[in-house]
Amino acid sequence: MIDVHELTKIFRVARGEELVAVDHISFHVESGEVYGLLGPNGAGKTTTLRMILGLLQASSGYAAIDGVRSSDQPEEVKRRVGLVSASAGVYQWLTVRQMLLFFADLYSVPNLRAKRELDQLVRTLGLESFIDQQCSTLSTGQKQRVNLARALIHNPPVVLLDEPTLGLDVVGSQTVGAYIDLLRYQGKAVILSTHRLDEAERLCTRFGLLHYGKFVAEGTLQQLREATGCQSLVEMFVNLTDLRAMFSESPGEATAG
Amino acid sequence: MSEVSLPPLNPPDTETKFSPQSLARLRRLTAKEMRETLCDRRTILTLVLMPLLLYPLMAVGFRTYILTNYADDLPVEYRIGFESREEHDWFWRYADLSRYTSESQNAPEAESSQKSSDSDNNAGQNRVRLLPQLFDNLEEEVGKHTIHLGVRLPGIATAFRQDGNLELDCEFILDVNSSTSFEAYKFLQTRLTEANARYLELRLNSLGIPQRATPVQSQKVMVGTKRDTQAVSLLSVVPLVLLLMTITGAVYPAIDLTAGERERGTLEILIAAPVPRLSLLLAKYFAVLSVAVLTATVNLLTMSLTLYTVGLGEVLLGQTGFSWLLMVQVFLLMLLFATFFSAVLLTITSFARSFKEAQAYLVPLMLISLVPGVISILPGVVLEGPMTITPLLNIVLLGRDVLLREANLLTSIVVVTSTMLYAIAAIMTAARIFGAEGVLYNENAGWSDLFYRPIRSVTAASAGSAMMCLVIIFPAYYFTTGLVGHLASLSIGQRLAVAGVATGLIFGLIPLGSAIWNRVSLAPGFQLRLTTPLAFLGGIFFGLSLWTLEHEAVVVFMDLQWATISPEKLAQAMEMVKQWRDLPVVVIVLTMAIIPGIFEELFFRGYLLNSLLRRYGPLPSILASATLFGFFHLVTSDSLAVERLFPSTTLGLVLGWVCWRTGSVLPSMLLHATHNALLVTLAYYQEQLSDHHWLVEEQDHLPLTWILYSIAGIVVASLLVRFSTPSNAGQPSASVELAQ
Repeated sequence: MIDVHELTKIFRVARGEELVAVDHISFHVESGEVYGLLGPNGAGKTTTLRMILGLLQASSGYAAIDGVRSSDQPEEVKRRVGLVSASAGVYQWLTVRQMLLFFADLYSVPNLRAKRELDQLVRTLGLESFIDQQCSTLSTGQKQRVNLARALIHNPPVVLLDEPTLGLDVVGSQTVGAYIDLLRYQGKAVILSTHRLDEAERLCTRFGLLHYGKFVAEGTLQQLREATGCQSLVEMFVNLTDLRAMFSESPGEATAG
Repeated sequence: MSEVSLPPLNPPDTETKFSPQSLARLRRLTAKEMRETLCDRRTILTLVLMPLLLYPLMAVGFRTYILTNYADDLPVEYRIGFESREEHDWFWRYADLSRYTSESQNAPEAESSQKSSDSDNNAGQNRVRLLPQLFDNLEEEVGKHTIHLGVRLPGIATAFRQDGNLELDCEFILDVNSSTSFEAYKFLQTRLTEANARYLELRLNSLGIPQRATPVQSQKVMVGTKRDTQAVSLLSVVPLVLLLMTITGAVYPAIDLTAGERERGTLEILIAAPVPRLSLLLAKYFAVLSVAVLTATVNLLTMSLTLYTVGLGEVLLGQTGFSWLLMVQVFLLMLLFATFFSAVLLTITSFARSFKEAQAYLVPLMLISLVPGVISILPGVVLEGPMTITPLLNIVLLGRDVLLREANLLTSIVVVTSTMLYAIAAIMTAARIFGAEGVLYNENAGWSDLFYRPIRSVTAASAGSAMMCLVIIFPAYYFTTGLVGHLASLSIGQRLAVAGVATGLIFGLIPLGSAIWNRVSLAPGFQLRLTTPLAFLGGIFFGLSLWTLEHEAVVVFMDLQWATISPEKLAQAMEMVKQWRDLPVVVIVLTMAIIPGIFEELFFRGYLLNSLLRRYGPLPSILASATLFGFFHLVTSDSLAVERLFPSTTLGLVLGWVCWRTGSVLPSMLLHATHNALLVTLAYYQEQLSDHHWLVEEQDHLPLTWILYSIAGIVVASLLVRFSTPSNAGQPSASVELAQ
């Protein structure tokens, strides 16, 4: 479903210097899989997601959804992807219902189907109490639930989640967790980028550990444990700076891809 | 929730075409942006409250200005105090002031001109109204501003002496700090001088001396319409104020819908939707434009109402004042301005990543906007030459001319066309940077996206790049042709050479530069493909046949009196053709037919049509390029020839069809060059042809057989082009790329 091949992004920074944000990473995510894209700040997780969606142009390599490359047909790729980002805002003067139907329209969802999808999302994500409330009056948790609904209003086969629990309390995080479970149940291909390693451990089927734009490990939790000798993702994270040394010559050895 | 279903894969670019669905979605997008904007209290504030507060305040300022500069034209009241009724009655009768007290007698135009005396003090006496009042202490009342002037006649009882002579002192009590008091004094003083002269004349006549009291009487003879530079200056302020207020209305929505969107975190999710950036931007553009037009309307209405209420309309605009027609004209001008400025605002605010940054960018823009206003206020500034294509300045000056009822049709069309082109350029620029990487994610730089060059080469320019070329070509060509026309010192041959070189440079170099910058492969990007001989033959047939129908169209226009070219211009053109005959015909054909044929086609069909075809269907693309071609020929001469619009556009349609059908610009070049060559050769040999009765006069219809031959030629040409290639344009299989 999602194919990432030798994806690279180089940013030009001041004085003509270049910063390699993502460095030749490759991975594959199938339908019904939740792929955890993990790594410390600045590892290149968000940049990778943005390239998959076609919001950023890759310097080399490609990302494709169902065989369609985001560099060639960005709109076709966007049509198949739902994006949830912690930084995503809401239209403060619109009601929740208006905003969700507006996005359904952007994704060319026919009116009747949009209303049906909306009703289902309202029930699934518990939006009943504020569906006709103006977005400016929503709490952080409510806004995040609206954003989760917004990403699904066109029923995309692929969902990209960028730090979806950032700034949420326990209840909010649990909602997101249930949401991801639901996505997997529905057979969607999901990439989850997060700092909440416990959550990732519980929700993801496979992981890619990014550091300075490169994969230092990729595989199932079991494969990562075997490769790193660490029991939990937290331990792996702590040792991440040393991981490069551990896998310096052949990171592919740990790759279970 | 339903099962996952894969949406069908649409062919590339489907979304960017103008389908009814995409237009309907654009409407819904605009409606959403409008709802967002109009729900915001800050928009309402600038939209409604600002004009409501501004114009009454301005009216106070205007009125003060008018009182200082136009006191003669405004109704004015002077309160005059007397100590006794006797003094009042005597003075009123002696100075003949009763006509200034009664409403009905106010402002007798005829009387004033007949009596108009010498001094400027008399000017405006028509609008003076006197209000006499009785008081015990005149000094005190003047001091308290109860009255403007006190009049005291101490020796009234003994004024007439027994010998019939009149001797009386008249004291005027003025407020030293009041200009109105001085004005009242000057007014009464003048009336008294007139009364004295009348009395003196009566006395002299009664003594048998027929001498008038003012032996030498000056007479003022006014020439021209009453309008001085101050009036023009004040009138120039009107469009400027309206334009500035329109900007004010559009600024906040423009920032809110671009930089504000990024600040609120909704820009990324919007860009993540499968909607072309141009559509998103157009929706925002229409929202900003709507608010700008609403603001303009509210401002125009409030200003008109203010002018009407304080009675300044007639002072500024003459007898007819602020008519409905004038309001419509001013509104259309503001609509044009809003069209342009909304696009400029969006371009600038699209660069910004926050409200603060957008505001920082807009302050210099607002200051720059004041410059044309200041220039337009300067006396003697005429809307002509380069000014007609200078953004903003041209609109302000056209606004002034519309108010003065001096707007010229050709100039207006040039202003409108150039402004629309600038607006398109601004929208295209905005679409390039709105939601682009640098603006969306980079905290340090955003301008780099403007100069973004594609990594890979492409086979056609984007519609935006091609339109941007047109935006540069239009003023450049307009300016150059104007310049060549004024190079009187050059011979006709030199002028033709300069024009030919200019055509080549403008239509060749500008698209070439654009193509190189945008990594457009030159051969496919300009449709430079070899095609079959049949296509070229078809081009020649078209080139030889079309002129008769064009001639007929021009004659029909002339018959219907729709032609706009002046006889002087026609005579000038005939004179120029005469001058051509001093040169070899080959020079004329080279400069007037071959060079324009090659280079105009290189741009209009090769670059522009090609870019449109990649994005839109053949019909809208050919129509759009032909209309632009026709319009280009309508306004890029120093005279407006509406009758040329139809033939030029028709020629553009045929050229576009040939190019699309054959997939190559080369047959179109041949067609264009043949067409022009035939016309200039006919003109060159007109005298000889007429001598042999082979050519009709300019204004005459052609013989029917000629037209029938032409139609046959067009049919043959169409068939040749139709069957010249197995399939239509854009398919390399049908043609061989020159580059190969």
